[in-house]
Amino acid sequence: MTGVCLLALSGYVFVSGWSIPRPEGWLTAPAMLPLLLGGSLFVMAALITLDTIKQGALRALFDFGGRAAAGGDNRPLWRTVFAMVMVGFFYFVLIPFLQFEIAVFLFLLGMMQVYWPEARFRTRLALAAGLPFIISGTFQGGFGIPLPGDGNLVQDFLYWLRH
Amino acid sequence: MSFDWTFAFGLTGLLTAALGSILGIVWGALPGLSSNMAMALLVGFTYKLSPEIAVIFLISVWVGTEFGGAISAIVINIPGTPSAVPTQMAGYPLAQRGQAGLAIGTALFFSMLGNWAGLIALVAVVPVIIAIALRFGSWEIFLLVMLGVAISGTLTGQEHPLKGWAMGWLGLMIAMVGKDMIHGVERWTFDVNELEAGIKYLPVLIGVFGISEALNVLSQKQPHVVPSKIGRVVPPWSIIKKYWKSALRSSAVGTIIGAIPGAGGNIASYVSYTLGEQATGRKFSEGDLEGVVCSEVANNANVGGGLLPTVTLGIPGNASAAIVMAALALHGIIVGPNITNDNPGFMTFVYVTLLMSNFFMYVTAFAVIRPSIYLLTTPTGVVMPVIIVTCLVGTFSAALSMFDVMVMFAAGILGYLLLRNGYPFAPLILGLILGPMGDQNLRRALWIYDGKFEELLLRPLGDVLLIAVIWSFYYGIKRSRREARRLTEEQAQAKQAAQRA
Repeated sequence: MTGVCLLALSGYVFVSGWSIPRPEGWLTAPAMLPLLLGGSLFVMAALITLDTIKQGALRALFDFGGRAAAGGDNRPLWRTVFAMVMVGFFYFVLIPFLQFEIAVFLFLLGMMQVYWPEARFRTRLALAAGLPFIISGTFQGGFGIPLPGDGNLVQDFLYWLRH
Repeated sequence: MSFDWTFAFGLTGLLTAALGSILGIVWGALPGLSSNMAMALLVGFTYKLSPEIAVIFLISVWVGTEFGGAISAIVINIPGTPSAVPTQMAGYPLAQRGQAGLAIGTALFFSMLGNWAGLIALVAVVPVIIAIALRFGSWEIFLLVMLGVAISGTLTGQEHPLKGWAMGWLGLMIAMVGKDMIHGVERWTFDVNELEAGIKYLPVLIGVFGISEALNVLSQKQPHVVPSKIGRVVPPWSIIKKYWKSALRSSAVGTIIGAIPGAGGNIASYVSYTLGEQATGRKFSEGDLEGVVCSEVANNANVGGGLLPTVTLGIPGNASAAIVMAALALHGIIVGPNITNDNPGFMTFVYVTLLMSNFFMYVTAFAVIRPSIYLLTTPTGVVMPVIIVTCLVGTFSAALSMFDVMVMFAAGILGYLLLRNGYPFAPLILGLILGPMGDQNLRRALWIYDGKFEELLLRPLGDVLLIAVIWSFYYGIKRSRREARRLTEEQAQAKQAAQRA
């Protein structure tokens, strides 16, 4: 699959590179190195794809359902997919609309709920509530490093203290 | 800017080195947290510090993590860092026999020796390399870039060098995005303003070493048991005396591999471990202190070795060195052949910092080893989400850009998929860092020589580099064919054995 993606990407770079302007001819053309790279990466990706097909990649791809039906353990895959979804949710939904500490609290609580289920809920809640303030206090409070998000509580608190 | 090496001996310098060492050892000891990840996260943090403190802090963390990885490798059979895998193979059986303390103590002492070897090599070779590098023209710099990416692909791709080269090429291609530096022509910017400046390598570094490694650890479930007693940590003199030959050999291996662009501590420790087994005729995996010595000396000598091409040529010796380079760039310090002219005193400052970090790594380790072992019980379900948040803060703080944060997350997810499919990261990062340098110098060389390749081939230094690039590809192809033949033979033998059964 990765080989096919590389094949498509390098092919795209090679084809689109020809339309990039060449102000002083080919010798100093901005697309010269990308074209060389795209062309050679295309060959490499083709060889990688052929090699993976030879090793039975297609069979493995289409046998996925069979493995699941046979009771194969797909848990690691779902654990990863959930983490990726949470990361996306954190970036696109929580951070732009919530204050930093609240966004981090919700993210940590969600992650711990799935990846640390053996702990008691109270422990998870306490950690998810405390850790954002440690992070925020260290970066914003301690070193004055600005944090992403729609404001942050530590900054508000520091402002309130000063005024 | 100029550097004063005496700063490292001031109270701030000493405290920073001690703090960095402690943080590095603890970080390295936690399973799944590599030195690259630690340093990638801390780059954003060092942005607000002075360049001197940033250098001391990052190098101390680097030195600390290289040793810290050995603690969890020996005690719970999970390498803290990738370079500690051979230590785990030789050290964990010793822990099972109740010698965990002895194995950790030996790892610590020989880690210190490895750092010394790297430092001595750095002091001895830097002036020579700088003298040669100052004679490089545009053509040689372009070939040096290609050599770095090619060698990195050959070595990190292991039995599939094609995958390593493909990653290097991908890194070089990503580096081509944005306005080109010679004509200002836009390349693959898709009318996105943020892409005009190109894809910065810092968010990519943090993504592939922070997010993807966190995702990788989260996808696994590895319960581990921490032993209640580890025993005596200080190794007896007889052991130190017994393994001096292995230490010497591993120092040379670690330093030389460190100096090869893109080849990190993991390759150094593997090669040193294998050479050690061949030299002694023993299998270290049954539990052997000499295996721990070979691995630890090599991965620590790799620190000094890795800094060698970084500071002299501007080509990172390994991923951690690339991160140090990124941190220096944030402070306006550009490493390369002109480093001694542009930043007087910088090299001496680096030597002194390495010396101090090594000292503090050894001293603080005695205080940190036992608490680190208790920390091994920290659930990954807590540590990894916090790391993801720290990645976000680190990336955002460097340029206050949410676009960079998006690049970081995208690089992290892409990096995770590549990791799962056996593609190495080091050539990708090297390509991304060196891409603009390679592009500009190739075009400049062709412009100067008016496209006459035959004249470019009359440059002796360039010819040496060109032969090295070709040799690197030839070596990779030859090795992959040998590996494929070996696999076919093994499969045939297994088939025959099954038929006989």
